[in-house]
Amino acid sequence: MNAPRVSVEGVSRDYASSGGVPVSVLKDLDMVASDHEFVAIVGASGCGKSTLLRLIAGLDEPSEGVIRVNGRAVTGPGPDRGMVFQQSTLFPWLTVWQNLRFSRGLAVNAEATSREVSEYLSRSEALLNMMGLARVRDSYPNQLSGGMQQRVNIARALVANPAVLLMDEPFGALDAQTRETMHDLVLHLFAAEKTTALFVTHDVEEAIYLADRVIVLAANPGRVDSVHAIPWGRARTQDLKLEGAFVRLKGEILARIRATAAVHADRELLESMTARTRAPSTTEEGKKP
Amino acid sequence: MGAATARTHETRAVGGGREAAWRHGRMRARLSRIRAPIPRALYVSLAVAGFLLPLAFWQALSAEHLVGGLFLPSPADVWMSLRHWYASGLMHDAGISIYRVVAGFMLAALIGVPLGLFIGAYKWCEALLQPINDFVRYMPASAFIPLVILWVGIGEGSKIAIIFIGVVFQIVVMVADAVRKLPDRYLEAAYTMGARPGEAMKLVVWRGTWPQIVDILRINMGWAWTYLVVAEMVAADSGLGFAILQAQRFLDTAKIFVGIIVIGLIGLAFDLMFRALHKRLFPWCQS
Repeated sequence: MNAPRVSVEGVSRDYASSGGVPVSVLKDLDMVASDHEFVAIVGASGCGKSTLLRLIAGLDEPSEGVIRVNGRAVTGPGPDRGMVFQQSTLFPWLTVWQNLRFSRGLAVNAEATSREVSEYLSRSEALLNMMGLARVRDSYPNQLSGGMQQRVNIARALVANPAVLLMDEPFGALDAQTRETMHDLVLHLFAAEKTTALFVTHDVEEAIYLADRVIVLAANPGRVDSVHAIPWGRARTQDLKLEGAFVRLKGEILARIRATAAVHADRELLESMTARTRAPSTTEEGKKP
Repeated sequence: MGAATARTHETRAVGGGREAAWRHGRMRARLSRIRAPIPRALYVSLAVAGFLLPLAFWQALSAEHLVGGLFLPSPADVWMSLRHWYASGLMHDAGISIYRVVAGFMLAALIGVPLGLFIGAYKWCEALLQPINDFVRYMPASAFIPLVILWVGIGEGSKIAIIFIGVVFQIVVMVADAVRKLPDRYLEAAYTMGARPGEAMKLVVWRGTWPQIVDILRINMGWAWTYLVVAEMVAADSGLGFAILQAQRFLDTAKIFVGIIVIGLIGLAFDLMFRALHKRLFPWCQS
């Protein structure tokens, strides 16, 4: 029996709005992630993708439904779910190495056996080396570049060996070149680490390049619109992004996001602008004769 | 070719004057540009001038007898008064005043910092204590003197109590604000790593606001000194504030000057100590 690593069952999340009418951010959402699967979640802004991740992390509670990780219902945050945020959450007062070892000092890990402790230590060392952080081991976070900080954040989230790694637009604040490097680094890392990962992003290309499966959420209220299986194996290079099949898939997913976006105002504005730019040319033509 | 060289020389000669003008213009631009750095030497000389100019102005005023000695003693008078006071127990007065300020301040920090931490971290604590704290905070410390005498008596306790009352409520508000400003994401990160609320409080809230707390204490130490004269209005027989009040009674303006200047210097020394401590304790705060 191969139970899913993460299962989201009929989850809704409503927020009380100022007008008194509750706003439904997520409505009756179901999804699963199986063992060692890398799932990317995309969708227009307001589709509740970040909320979904926060619910799984236990940082927020669903209004209805249940979320299970390894079969156990989520009731709050815990070390079985590592989380990487868009903004770095490294503690500025600790060095890179101290940040990596932060969870070691917590009461949840206090009863670790000496074998577990030495495993933890060697795991920290291994992650430090794998992420190319050995050189900055004793630096403080504010001495590192944004890309470097996110690498430490990922390493820190992985060090406790979580059942699932949750990433909320982890590269959203990085420049394009650094982001590409991070993508390849993540591919290498997950080839070695074999962790289940849920990756929220607004960048469709990033989602396809990294994931085994891409889930598109529709907005208002947030629900699963479509699921796209990514046909390529885990060994991927940047050239893949230029291939016809990749570009077609990207187009398909983008079309779904556009079709399910909650905000129509921007599109209406765009349409009225196109109409206006066309209008003078026709009158011009009318004058000619 | 010779003509070409001559021309370069010519431009250079003219350029010399132009370069000076250009440099002058650049310096002006640098001084008027917001937040632009200035040369270190210029910075130091301006800081020294900031002290020397008022001193020179003061000297000029008193030397020309534009203002009577009763209103404005000359720098020389003040210097004489300082030497005189030094011989008759300035250090003792300074010592007892430092003791009172430090004791009142320490007591306020010991009570105010934990209260501020709890008010900033827990909403129920904020609801219970913040409104009353804000209410008492606006009451003038000097108005408490009769009550303090009634409750604490006229010993050392009453002087320390006045300084305590003067700063403790400010420390509470400022520490609570510092805690609220700590980004949520640090706490969330700690929770996702398995931290319990108590651990988040100790390892994130406390550690994360430590630098701000040291800064808050530095600022409040300054305020504690401003309450010294008020505190030593309470049946004191020694101390810098007491000496100033005593000098007022005898119209010894020079001694008042000395007292104020000495308090200023001691305050400055404490401030520098706190700054050095901050730099030493929190290397990660320097960018």
